Amino acid sequence: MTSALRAALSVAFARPWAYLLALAGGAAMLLLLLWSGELLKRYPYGGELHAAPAELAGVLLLSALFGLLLPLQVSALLKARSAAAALGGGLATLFGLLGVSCCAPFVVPALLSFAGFSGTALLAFNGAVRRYSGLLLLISAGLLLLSIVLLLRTLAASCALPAAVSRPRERTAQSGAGPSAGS
Amino acid sequence: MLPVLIMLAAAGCGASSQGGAGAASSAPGANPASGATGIGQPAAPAAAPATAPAQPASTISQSPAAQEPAGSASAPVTAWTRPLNVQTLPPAGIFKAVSQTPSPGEKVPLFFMGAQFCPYCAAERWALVEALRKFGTLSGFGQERSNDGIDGFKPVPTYDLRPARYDSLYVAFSDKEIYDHNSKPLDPLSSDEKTYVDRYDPTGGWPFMVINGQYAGLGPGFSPGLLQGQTFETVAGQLQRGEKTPATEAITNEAQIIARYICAATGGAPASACPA
Repeated sequence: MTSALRAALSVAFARPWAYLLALAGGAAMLLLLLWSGELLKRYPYGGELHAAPAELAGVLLLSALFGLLLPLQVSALLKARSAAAALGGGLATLFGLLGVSCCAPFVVPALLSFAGFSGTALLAFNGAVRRYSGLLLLISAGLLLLSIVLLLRTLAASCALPAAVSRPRERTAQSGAGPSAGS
Repeated sequence: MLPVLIMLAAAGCGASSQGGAGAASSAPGANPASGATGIGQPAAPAAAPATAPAQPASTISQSPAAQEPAGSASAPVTAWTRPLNVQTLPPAGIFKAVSQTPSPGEKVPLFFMGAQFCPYCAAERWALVEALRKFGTLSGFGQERSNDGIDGFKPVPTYDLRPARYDSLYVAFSDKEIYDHNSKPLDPLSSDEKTYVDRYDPTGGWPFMVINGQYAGLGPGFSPGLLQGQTFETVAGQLQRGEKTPATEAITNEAQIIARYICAATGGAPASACPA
């Protein structure tokens, strides 16, 4: 099992762009979380980054997991034609954005506002989110981990399948009695 | 795609103001100013737990400027007519003009919405009070602190405006703290205040301020980091003595922005608060 997962990782990161994608994805997630969660704020006299240590650790963890998830997701799409874990990644991002909100979170309320929610409805929403921010961060990290595991299994399965199919072909080619030889 | 969605959502829905502010001339539930300790007087202990509201000090703040008539420096003004045909100022700091039309009413409505746990609200209240002092008398307020550790900030000292009373000829002030220290709902909004939020705070964030139904600001004008860990008395004393620290300068600058918008709404009255 471990070797299969390792093989899946090596497949996902076989090309240099996978590392770049991981770095870019992680950095983008980090910026998105910092900006949306108001941890990174701009004032007339300059910008400031303020976060509680636990909050910052959570944000870094989510960013790292997202960076790992992205090349796996792309690889799964290319090799296994599977987008099953994309939902998990999307949900994890959503929960992550909600989990680092203090007072004027931006991205998710803006999307909800665009979807028709009123400012007063979002006041209540933001307050509820604030009460469960720690739990939301944990759920986000859990979903990312789950997505990563699912993707690794998908990739491992997709790698194993051609080998299993190719073995009879090799045997038949060696014996000279395969379907290709016979045709 | 996402930035487009965000911009559209942030743009809000309307451009015109409607209805009088839910602003009363004083906050509900005014407490008598018992055991008052004014700014500059012996300080009350401020070391309250960060997750619980600090004890009120029922401090009184008063600005003689607000008692003066426009263009005069002596006789107190007892009557004033609010101009409704006023100039709209350009954006400054966190504020932007959201309507050309002032909200109706005899006084300039000023609505502030915050939360007790929120460090950004705690910071902004200092500037708000400094601005309000120029236009009237704030009494019966207490001391408060934001929660410890939110966004990495230590407790930020601030005013507790819930029990306060604001007397002004010019400004009708309303303060609503929508969540307490445990993020539980606290003050309900009036229908007019809900209208403000729905129109000018479409993402439902705080601190949020509306001046005259024309100017809205979301967020703090300066970092709570400038005030974190200090005591209420320290900051209040520095402001009263006119000491120049990063915190007092930030508060004063933000207060000037708020006062400038109020002055535009009052048509420049009183003259002592609204220098030409």
